[in-house]
Amino acid sequence: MNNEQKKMFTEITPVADIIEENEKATVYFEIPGASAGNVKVEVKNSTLTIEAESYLERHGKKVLFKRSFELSDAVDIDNIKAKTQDGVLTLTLPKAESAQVKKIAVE
Amino acid sequence: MGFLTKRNDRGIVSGGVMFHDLVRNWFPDLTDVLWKDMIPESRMSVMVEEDFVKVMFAFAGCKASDFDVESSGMFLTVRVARRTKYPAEEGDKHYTCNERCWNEYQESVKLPVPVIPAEAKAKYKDGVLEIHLPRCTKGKCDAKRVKVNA
Repeated sequence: MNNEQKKMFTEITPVADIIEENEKATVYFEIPGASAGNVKVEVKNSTLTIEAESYLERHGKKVLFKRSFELSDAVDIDNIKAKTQDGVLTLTLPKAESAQVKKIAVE
Repeated sequence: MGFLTKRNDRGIVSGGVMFHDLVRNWFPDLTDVLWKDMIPESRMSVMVEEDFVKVMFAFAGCKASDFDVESSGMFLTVRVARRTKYPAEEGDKHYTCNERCWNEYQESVKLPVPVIPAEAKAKYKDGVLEIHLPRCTKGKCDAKRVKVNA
């Protein structure tokens, strides 16, 4: 998104929940008014960025939900999955095999 | 942020009493001016059209049945209580960030024009509740003259 396009939006940081498990982490972003077609998720230089254009308006401009997280090397970037439902963007970030906790039986 | 992140773009959130909390107590009249941006913004936006009033209420992650909408002609109240179960921490499952609101929420607004509550319609899509309230137009909501008997 260039600077001209950015001026058309009011940028808002969406609230998020992150639930971490052994094999994956699930991130929920609240992006009311944005459908799947208006959501962009990208990973660049280990930084995950989500952008969602909403039809809601604030201060006379359309709302753009935008938030970034720096990912650790433990995330399997190639297998990140995203879906939207009822204004919530759900990202599933699987852990790389090498980063998963393995229990070792003690003999 | 555990394994997921090293840091996020919201910076560090510190607890305890902040400077602006102290100033708010000393100069209550100034706080609206100085910290206007810190007052939570309304989730409702109201648009007045020629024939109807459109109210949009942003509350993501709900079902239509979670909402309770009331209008008395000049006021509109929206209550929401999520019936979806709060994802609990169990086993190795735990929160590393928890910002979403799971409590009950209620907001009321005084409408800029009178409406007909009986003909109101509401639908929930993409995390936004849209309420259409027909405006009181001439003939529908005319003032009625009441005869005073002796």
